[in-house]
Amino acid sequence: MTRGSFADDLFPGPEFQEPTSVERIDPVVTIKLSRKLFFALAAIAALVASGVLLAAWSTSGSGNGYAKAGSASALTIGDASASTSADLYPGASGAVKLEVTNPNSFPVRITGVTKQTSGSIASNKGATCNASTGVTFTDQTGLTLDLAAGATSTFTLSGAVGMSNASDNSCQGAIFTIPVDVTAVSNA
Amino acid sequence: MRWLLLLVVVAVGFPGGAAAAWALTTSGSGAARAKTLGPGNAPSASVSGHKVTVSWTASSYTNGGAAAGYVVRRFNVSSGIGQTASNGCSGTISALTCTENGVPAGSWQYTITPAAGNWRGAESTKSAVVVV
Repeated sequence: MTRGSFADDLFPGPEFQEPTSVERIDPVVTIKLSRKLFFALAAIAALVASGVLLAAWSTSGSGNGYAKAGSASALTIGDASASTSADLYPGASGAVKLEVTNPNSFPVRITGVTKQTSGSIASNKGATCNASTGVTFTDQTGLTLDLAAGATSTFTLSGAVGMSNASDNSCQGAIFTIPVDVTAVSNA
Repeated sequence: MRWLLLLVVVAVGFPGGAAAAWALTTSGSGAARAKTLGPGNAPSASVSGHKVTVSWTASSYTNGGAAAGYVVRRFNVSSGIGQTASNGCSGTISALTCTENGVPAGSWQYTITPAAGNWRGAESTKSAVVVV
């Protein structure tokens, strides 16, 4: 073939055939993966979706120690008697004060306070009052009492105790101690 | 390959994974405090035949709140002996007045004592003397 004309350059003569229809080619790219690589990627995607990897990233990134700690320390409950306000009398309900310390490096949320099944409510007025305090504690659930890392707070559980007419006369002015179990969760 | 499938199952079965919160429980004591019932206020007394009407003002608890009831007593001025009032003033009176009927002839004084359940406030000083 000679370069005799422009037409010869574009259409090489005998080999050229006029197309009978126009074919459209989509820009699809196909990547072939090995089976091992495919399942590995699927597993990583599942972990990210479930929060496993995401949680690990967020905790290490935020600097909260709890993600790295091997265990959490128990909360401690102190003496809240000095914070109480005299509000109980026969036929009435009153508040319970609860002083809680969070020794952990992460904040917590107290979600429940329930009376210990084996403990009994006692007073500072002696045996006569203790024999018939007339005081009952109502278990508290669904609480949202937040406590910062390393903090101590005194919480008020309004209406958590009631006093019946069975309360002995010697219980006037008494401070009652109510044995409770406190349930909390980390609240980072 | 099986370990990969297991990993996927675990991840799907426990959404949240490492994001699950610590659960903490501990035991201790909460505290609550009772009020004290205040003293009774000296009543007044008026006579009509053998009826004596006794009236008084409300007593209060510490931190507020009025006493729910009162116990009325009558004292013989001559002997100093007291007894629980009766016939209209017996038991625990929730009002601030009562009328005792059929009071014997003599000279009498009255007191009131705040009451709530088994609780009792301090008894009031005696009323003026009434003569029936």
